[in-house]
Formats: sequence, C-alpha cells, structure tokens
Amino acid sequence: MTVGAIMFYGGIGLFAAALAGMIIANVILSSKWKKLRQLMHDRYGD
Amino acid sequence: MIEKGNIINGTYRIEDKIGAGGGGTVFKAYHLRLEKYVVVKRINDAWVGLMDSRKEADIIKNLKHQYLPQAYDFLQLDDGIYTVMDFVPGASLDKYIKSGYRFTQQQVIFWAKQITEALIYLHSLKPPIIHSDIKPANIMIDLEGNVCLIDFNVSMTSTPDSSISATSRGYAAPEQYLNIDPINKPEPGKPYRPRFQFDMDTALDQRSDIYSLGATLYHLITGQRPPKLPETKLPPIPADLPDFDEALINIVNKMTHYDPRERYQTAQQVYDDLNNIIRLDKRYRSHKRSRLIVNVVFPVIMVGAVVLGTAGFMQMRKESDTAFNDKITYADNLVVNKDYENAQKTYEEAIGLKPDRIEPYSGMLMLYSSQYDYDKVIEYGTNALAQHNFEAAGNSDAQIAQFDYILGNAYFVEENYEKAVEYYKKAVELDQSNAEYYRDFAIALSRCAYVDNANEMLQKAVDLGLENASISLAKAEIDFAKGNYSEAAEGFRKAAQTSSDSVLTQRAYLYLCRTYDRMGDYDSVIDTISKNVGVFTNDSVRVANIMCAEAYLKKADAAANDQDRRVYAQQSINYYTRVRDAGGASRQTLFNLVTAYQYVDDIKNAQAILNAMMQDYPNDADVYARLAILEADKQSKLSSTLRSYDNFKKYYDKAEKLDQHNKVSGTSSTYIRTMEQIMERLKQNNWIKE
Repeated sequence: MTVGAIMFYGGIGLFAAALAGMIIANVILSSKWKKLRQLMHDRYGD
Repeated sequence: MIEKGNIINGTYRIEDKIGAGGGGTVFKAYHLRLEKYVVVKRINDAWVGLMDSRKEADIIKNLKHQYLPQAYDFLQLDDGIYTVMDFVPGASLDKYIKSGYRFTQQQVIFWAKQITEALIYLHSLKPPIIHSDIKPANIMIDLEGNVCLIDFNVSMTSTPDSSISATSRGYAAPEQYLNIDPINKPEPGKPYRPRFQFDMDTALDQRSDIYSLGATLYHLITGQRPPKLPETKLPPIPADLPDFDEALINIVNKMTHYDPRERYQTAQQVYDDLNNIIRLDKRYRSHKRSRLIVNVVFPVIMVGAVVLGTAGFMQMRKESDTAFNDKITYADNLVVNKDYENAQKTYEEAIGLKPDRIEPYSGMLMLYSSQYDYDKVIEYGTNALAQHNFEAAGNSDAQIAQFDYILGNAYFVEENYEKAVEYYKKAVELDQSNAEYYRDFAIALSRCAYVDNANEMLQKAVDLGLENASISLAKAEIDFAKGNYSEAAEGFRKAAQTSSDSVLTQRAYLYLCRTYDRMGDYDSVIDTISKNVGVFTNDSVRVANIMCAEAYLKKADAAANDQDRRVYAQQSINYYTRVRDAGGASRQTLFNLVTAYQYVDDIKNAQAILNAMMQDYPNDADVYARLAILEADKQSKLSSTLRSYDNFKKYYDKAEKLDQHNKVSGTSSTYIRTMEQIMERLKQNNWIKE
C-alpha cells in the first residue's frame, strides 16, 4: 500500500471514527445533561 | 415614652412594640381611618438633626418596589420624628435564625435575588439610596415567602455631603468604621464590651450594601452570626459545606470581601451571578467543558481527517501518475530497444492503471509501427478510438493529435491516402503548432490529388517554420501529383541532400525512386538505391529493397530478350528474397516474387511460395488463381502426352469459388481473369472438357 493510499484510507477511517466518537459522546453527554439539569434544579431552583 | 394604646397624631394607635435598633424604635400601629395595620418607627434622637428630615421623607415616600415597604407618612412631632410604613405580615429572617431554622440553598438564592433586585432599584435612583443597614432583622419574609427590605428611615442618599448611615456590627461593611480601635476602655469589675466609632463623614456607596447582604447570607448559610468588625475579618465560608454549593459560597465570599474593590461593584453584578448561578457550578462547568471538547475536538479531528484524506487522495493521484509515467517511459525505451513483447506488456499495465489516458495507446501504435505492422496500427488505433473518448477523459489536444498523426502515418504507408488525409486533418485541427503535421497532411492531400489544399497546408507548415528540406519534399510531392515528375525529382533530390533529418532523407530518396519509377526510369531507381544503401535504416531498407526488386522486375518485363529477362528477374529475386527473409514481405511482394521465379523458370520455388501463401491466405482467390496459372505454365512446358490439367482444374475451381462475391460486383482481379482466359483456351483445345 502506497503512502497516498495509507493517508487516504487513514483519513476516511479517522473521519468515520471521529464522527462515531462525536455521536456517541454527545449521546452520553445528553444523558448526563438530563441528570445534571435535574440536579441543578434541585440545588438552585428555577 | 410611647406605650400601647397611645394615639400618635390622632391617626395611629400603637398596638405593640416590634423592635428597637440603632436607628430607632419600631411599633405595630393601627391606622384609625384606613383601618389597617401599619408600622410606625420613631427615629432615635441621635439621628435627629443629622438629616434633612423633609427631604429624606420625600425620598422614602417615593420609593416603589415589590420588595420594599411603601412609606405612608412622615411626622415631625414635638416628641420626635416618626415614619409610617406598610405593615408586612410575616417574620424577619432574624426570627427564623433565632428559632434555629435551617435554610435551604434554594431559599437563600431565592431571597438573595429578591433583595438584590431591591438594591438594584435603590442604587439606580438619582441620587442612589444606600440602605446601609441590611441585616436579617431588616429582612421580612411575608406570608407568601417573598422578602421585604425594611427600615429605610435611616438610609441615606449617596452624595458627597451625605453623612448618615445606620450600622449593625457584623453586617456593616468595614469601610463604615472610622477605625479599628475601640473608643472605650475596659473598666475594672465590669465585662468589657468594646465600642467603635462609625465613620459618619465618609460617603458610602453601593458596595457597602453588597457587603451587608453578603454578611446576611453568610449568617443564613453558616448559621453563625458574622464576627464583629473591625477587629475580626469575616472569614471565607468553607467550600465544603454539605447543603450549600461552592458556586453560592463563592458569590457570598466575593460579596463580603474586606476590600471594596475586590467585591462585586454593583448589585446588578450580584444579581447576574445569582441568576446564572448554574453557570458557576463546577459540575455544570465541567459538563460544558466536556461538551466543548466533544464539539470542538472531534470536529477538529474530522477536519484533520478530511485534510489527511484529501492529501492522501492527491498523493495517490500523484503516485499513480508517477507509476503511469514511469511505465510509459520504460515501455518507450523497450520499443527503442526492440523488446516488443515486454513493451506491449508494460503498455497494457499502464492501460490498466489509467484506461482513458492516451499515452499507452499511442505507445502501442508506435510499437506496431516499429514492427512495420501498419495493419495492426490501424486496427488497434481505430478500436481504441471507438472504445474511448480520449477528449472527454482529459487528454490534451496535442496528445490526441499525436495519436491521430501516427494513425494517419499508418494509413499513408498502407497507401490509403484518403484515410491518411482524414487523420492528418484531425491532427492539425487539434494541434495547430506542429509544422510536420501540416507537411504530411499536405503530402497526403497531394497523393489524393487535392493539390490546392495541399498547397494551403504546406503554406501553413512554412508559416510555422518548417525547415527547407521538408518544404522541398512537400513541394516535390505536389509537383508529383501535378505530373511534373522532373520538378518533383529535383525537389526530392534537393530534400534528400539538404536534410539533416535521416528519416526525412530516407523518405526523400524513396519518393525520388517512386518518381523515377513513374517516369519509367528504372535504372535511376536502382542507381539511387544502390548509391545510398547506407542511408536506409529500419523499414526504409525493406521499402528500398522492394522498390529495387520491382524496378528489376519491370526491367525483366520489358527485356528485349530472354537472357536479359532472366538476369533482371534474378536480381529482382535477390531483392525480394531479402525482403521475405526479413519478414516484411507483403502479399503483393510474394506474388511478384512468384512472377520473378517464373521468369527464371524456377517453378519449384514459385510453387513453394504459393503453397506457403495458401496457409497464410486460405481464402484468397488470387493465391489459387496464381497456382492455377503456374500449373498451366508448368504443364505447357511438358510434351502433350505427359500433360495433365487436373491440378489446374482443382485450383481453378477453388479460385472461382472464393471469387464468387467479386464476380457479382465485377471486381475480379487480373489473376482471376488471366486464369479464366487460360481455362477458355484449354477448353478450346480440348485439354479440359466442358
């Protein structure tokens, strides 16, 4: 495999991994945010 | 002395004493006309005279805010000064504290925001009003749970000449004290309670109220009264209180900073932080930071990945181009070194890399041209053009023009001049900067007798800087086309002698010989080739040998006697044999060789050539016709008793069968017609029966 092919397919792989990572991380953070928002409400009120 | 039941100013009946402080004594009273409870406060005598009573009263009466009591009246009576305000049902925060009530964080924030709103209002007035005595006892919680900031009659307007403030030790800001030394000294036998002198001459500002509110919140949060200034600074609230979060504690600590410059500078700032306290929470900030990281870092990685992928794609194209160009260069060198097998393989590999690039196809044409296989050049070239749209694939016009030029050359060599003209025309349309394309286009046009067009193209070639030898060559071709053979011969001779290009020199000599041939001057053909035999290389050697062989054969045809004919025919055989042995003998060359062998009565070799041609051209009627003619010639040399025309008849039938389609169109060859004439004679002489 040539340098160009490694870069090209590496770029595609990295993009896909980053996209998947961002989606997963946002799903996790959204879940955490729901809990945190409830906690903030409980602690500080409206 | 005011007591329960006293009626003040004929309007306010004292009901109860609510409290007393530095500023005065507060009573719950009943408004006899309005029939509602009010608060009557008698200002301490110490304050009287220090304030512009009327002016202060006007200010207080004009205050209107949700969290401030409404002042109704201001009385300057003989026994003192009174203010009358709303009675707020409920209890002060002080009472809550003393009852041991534990405040929740939500309550503290809720009330702090309301008090701050009231302070924003007070501080925004012109001139601003500084409450100056904010403390739990002056904060009422009404029945609905909202605050009411009370005890205004000792508040002051913040002007340089203002000099009144109430103070409560522990809640008053440090700048409200004149100095940190007590003004009294311990007395023997008495418990020492230090007294301090407050600074009545310094104009306080809103930061003092912020401090007092902070100290009040401190009390609510910690449950401990703030230590009394000025000898003890208010310590920061520990950040690890279980019921209160660091965000609120940080706000309170900032509000109660000893140095006013380090506090919030306005109540609005306090309110903003309280209102957005979630944003100050470390868990919230941690979450926001995580969000930021996720939504910045990942996109940055994605952008980086796109950049990497794009760079990779460009690199792949570059590598592919390099590999492709390397293969083309390598294959071109293989062609030069006559390693045609590997050259073809390498060109095919290049085609595999970039099927629509024209270079390997042009290389293949050059490969077949180098092998003098012009039929293959034409077949391969036309197929390539039919299967690929080289223009749409991004090949340059110059590259496509070169391809068309090579194809035109092949058609030219094959003497298909109309097709040569077609491809040369395409070449010059695509690349109008190549003088050689115009030159050969002009030559091909002249071969087709398009003399005017040929002259026009030649002029364009001249305009592009065509060298003199080439000009002479092309002009000679045009003269040839016009039938001016002497001028043509002179032009070709001049071109051959002046050209520095060996290929052009060879072409000029060959065209010169063709001109001599047309003039019937076969000796000059033979002489020219013989004298310049060292000039010819590659395919020109083959062509020169053929021209020489044909010249001798034509001399044999025209020989005056049999001996001369045999001598010329033998010379012709010598040249044709060289061509055949070099693998460059065409069908016509072989037929001519058969004719030459017949002239020298070498029937055996003639027969051998035709037998071999039967293998190579199994469906060629002419081959069988020549065999039949040869067989008739052979039998004619035998005595009549030994003759047999069975083989003639066999070849005749085969030739006639293969020539059926030409018979329909009336295009049978000379050989066929000769064979048929022989058949007629043999039938007439009864050698063959009908």
